[in-house]
Amino acid sequence: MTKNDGNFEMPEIDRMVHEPARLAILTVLSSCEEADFLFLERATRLSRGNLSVQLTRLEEVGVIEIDKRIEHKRTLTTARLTDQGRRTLNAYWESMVAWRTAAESRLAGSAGPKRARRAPRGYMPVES
Amino acid sequence: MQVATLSDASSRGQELRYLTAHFRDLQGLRMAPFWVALLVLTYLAQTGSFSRGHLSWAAVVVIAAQFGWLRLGGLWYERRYGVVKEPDPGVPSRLISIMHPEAPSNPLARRYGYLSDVNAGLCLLWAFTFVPDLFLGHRAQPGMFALLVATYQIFARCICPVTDSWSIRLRRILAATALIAMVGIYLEYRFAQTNLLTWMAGLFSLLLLLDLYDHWLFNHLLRGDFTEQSHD
Repeated sequence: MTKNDGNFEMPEIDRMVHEPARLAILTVLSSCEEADFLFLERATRLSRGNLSVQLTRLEEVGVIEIDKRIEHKRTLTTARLTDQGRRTLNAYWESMVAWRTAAESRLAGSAGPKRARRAPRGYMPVES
Repeated sequence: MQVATLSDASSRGQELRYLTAHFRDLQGLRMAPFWVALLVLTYLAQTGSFSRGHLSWAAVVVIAAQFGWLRLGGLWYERRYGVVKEPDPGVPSRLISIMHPEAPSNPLARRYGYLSDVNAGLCLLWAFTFVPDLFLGHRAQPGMFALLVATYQIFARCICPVTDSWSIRLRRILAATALIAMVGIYLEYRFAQTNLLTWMAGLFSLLLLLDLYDHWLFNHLLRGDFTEQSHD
């Protein structure tokens, strides 16, 4: 699961997570039990259609669970991260840390590391 | 370029996580009207246009109304911003412990729940005990009320984890400043014999400022654009 561009051995990036809209959705869901459609719409600033499509796609791969119920005479659609989703997001961030470390080394003009040595400032693993 | 992009994404992600984990505590408009009403009562007490007994009863009514507004304000936020279920508390003693740090492996998801229904209810019950007396003056215990407010409203803001975001850091700085100012005001009241009503006005103003900032921060964190370059 690594990519070799001549100087570095880099992990593959999970493109299901890497897409900005889906990454935003997963980031929001990673720090709460569940969030409803309206909050996700406001937090990610996606259009309703786009959000709906992305949620469906994430549900299809088992990263999130979607629940629809009636509350106060209105339909409440909520989404939550599954255990698999948390693992996937963690793995994604670990791969991004590796990419970042390599990019920083490259910019500094030194030889790139084979793998990530430390997490950058601000990196927070998702609760598993 | 790559580093900058990753850094931006990470920073915005942290802001979103902070907002989600503190969804309820950032709903400043749930408590702000309460502090405004008490500020008005304090002003009226200072002008002397109403008797202290009447103002004391008015404070009781304001506190009772605040119980209702806590619920209605929460519903307003839900209708306007959506519903977020925060992580369940890790400790069962929810009624006893006002602080229940959660999600230990993710510090940004740790929260202290000072505006959860139970804790806000307890805060108002305490307010029933002290605030009407503050307007009556003779049996006032401002020290106890300061302790109550510091415990339920300010201290949690000072110790909850922050991110690199300046607006989130400013929340902690404001809370820490308010805590210091509150202690200072109280000491001045205690030893320099400041007017009790002046002390109360200062206290309520600080709390109002903190809650208004929380509401602003809530909106500010929602305004950031994570998905500007969204495709697919």
